[in-house]
Amino acid sequence: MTIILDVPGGSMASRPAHFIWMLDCSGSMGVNGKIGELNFAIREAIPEMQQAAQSNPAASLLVRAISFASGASWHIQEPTPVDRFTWDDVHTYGATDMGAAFRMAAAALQTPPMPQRALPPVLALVSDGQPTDDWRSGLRAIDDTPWGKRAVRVAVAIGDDADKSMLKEFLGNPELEPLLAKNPRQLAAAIRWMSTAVVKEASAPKIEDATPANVSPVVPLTKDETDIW
Amino acid sequence: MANGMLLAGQTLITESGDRVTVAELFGSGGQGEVYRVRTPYGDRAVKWYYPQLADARQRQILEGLIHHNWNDDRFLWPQTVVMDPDATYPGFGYLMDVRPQRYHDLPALFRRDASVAATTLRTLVAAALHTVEAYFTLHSKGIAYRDINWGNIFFDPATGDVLVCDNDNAVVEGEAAAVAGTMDFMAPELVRGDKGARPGIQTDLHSLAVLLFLLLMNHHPLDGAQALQIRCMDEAAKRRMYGTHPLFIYDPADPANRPVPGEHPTVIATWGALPKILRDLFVKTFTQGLGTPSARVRESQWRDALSRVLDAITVCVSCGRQNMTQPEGPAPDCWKCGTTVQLPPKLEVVTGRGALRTRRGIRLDPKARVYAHHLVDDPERHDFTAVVGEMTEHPQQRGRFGLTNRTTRDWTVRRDDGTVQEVGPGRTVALRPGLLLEFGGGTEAEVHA
Repeated sequence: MTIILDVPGGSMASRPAHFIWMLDCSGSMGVNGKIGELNFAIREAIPEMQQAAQSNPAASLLVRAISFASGASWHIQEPTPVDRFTWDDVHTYGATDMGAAFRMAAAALQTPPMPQRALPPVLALVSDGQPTDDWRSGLRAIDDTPWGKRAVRVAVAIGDDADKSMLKEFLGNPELEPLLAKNPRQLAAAIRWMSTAVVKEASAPKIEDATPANVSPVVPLTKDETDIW
Repeated sequence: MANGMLLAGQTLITESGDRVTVAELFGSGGQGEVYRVRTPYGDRAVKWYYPQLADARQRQILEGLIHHNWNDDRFLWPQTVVMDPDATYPGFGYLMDVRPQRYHDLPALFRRDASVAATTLRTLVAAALHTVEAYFTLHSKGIAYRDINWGNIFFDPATGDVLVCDNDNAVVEGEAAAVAGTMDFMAPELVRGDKGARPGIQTDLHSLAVLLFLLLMNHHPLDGAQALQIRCMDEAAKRRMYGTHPLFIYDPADPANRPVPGEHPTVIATWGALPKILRDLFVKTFTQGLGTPSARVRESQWRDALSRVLDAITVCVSCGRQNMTQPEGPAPDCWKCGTTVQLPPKLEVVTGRGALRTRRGIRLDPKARVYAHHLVDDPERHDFTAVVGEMTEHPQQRGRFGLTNRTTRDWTVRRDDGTVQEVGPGRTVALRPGLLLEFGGGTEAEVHA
């Protein structure tokens, strides 16, 4: 809650930071309760996402979500201030039309509806399978928008069937890899990282000493992760 | 439930062999997660590094910091390394005290959050002063902090006390550490990645100045009209704004980056209420100091200026708001109601026995206090609990104020008619212009209208 303090000046000027979830709701996400794990992980991460957003008063984090399966649709269409953000479960409904989701995101990344000035948007993609539509043209549509081109992109591959090379192409940076989530704990860690570290990095970049530019974010390992898989 | 890398109930072991139990996750940052832990000597906090960052270099830095064995209540200093005794959790962390609840984060202040509603101009300036003194102490020991930013200083809105956290990037000047800094706070030469530029005490001074500007102005010193031309504030844009083309928003020689009315109302208001003595320091450090690290304003300069401004804070009689005033300067218009502030009489305190004497002017508004640091030449730190004297109202005559002796020693008062009187502990002396007060030890004070 913002109040008037007994000191000169109001609150700090801030820029909007748009965060868009793109979530795979294909039939296979219904197998072994993966969709349930995803809903749980996102819901769990909301308080930490709110905390991460609060740590940067120069950014106003706005969150929305696209689900894709047979076609794509806005699960949450209104860019929602993170402190008011709540999660309604996504449900599975067919194929893996990721290209449709990309085109939907691309339309949202035009100016307007994007404002004249903002922080780099974050595109967070979660998928467990192979796209079933023309995802390449969808990805090009994102790249063709000024905001899409500058977006910070992160991706989680759920399980072994996810198309990791495609996800890598989405990331658009040869140094970045999609996160791999093979169990609920890893999925929760990946979603939490996207909701916190990525949000912070996009709005207030930290720089490591040895590498002055292009720091790739650090992914926390989970304790039961082994070096062999 | 811990819900992080460590599990609630799990046991860790300190270097001295004490067993500590993980209780809950406090939060996560760029380098690791912080947990509350139970120890034989009460609750403490553990920062546990992400495995990729728990390397030999970080371990060495940590050992060095712990070796300093620093017991200063303004820092949450690493106390001992902790590890998993069964080695199933790779890596390590360190033990520190838990941050007391009275300390709030600076972003809450910048958002003007209700949790910091107790903040006043006095506590705000005091917080700036304490921040400067904390880093001064660190630097005077040859330690560079290297990642001064709004996330690692906490403050008490009621008193202005500060607590410096995340000290695990601090290293002895010249040594390497993992982090070069947070871009918005980094010295331009580091943002540009100039050859030979290293994070250290001299670059800390830039970060400190940015932090002070944010504290007092609630705005970034380089974020003006030029930033409005940037649509997407991404890393490349920040590199330009903070590295290759930094321009102070109030650079007297170049108005190209001035704040824009309607877009930057906060900084226009806060800069308008800032006394010249502080404006001058910001101008120096963000003009000459941007390109010439040796021209950056030093902590002792900030300390002296902030201390003088603190002594010159005056309450507007018309609306009751605290105002910063220029020491020795004319009365400003109140930032809140616009009425010209009525300057109360001033107590000029002179310390030091030799030829060089330090003069400090304390505005005697009804809540003014004289502190122990006023009575010494070069105080090591400002302690606002060490009250020596305070303004009090006459118990029978409303509106009649005097200075009450809160020490255990007599003061001596000399009037201009030549009469001398003792003011014992607990007694109050009415403050007439021309009155001379001897505090002892060569420190004396005179009241000026």
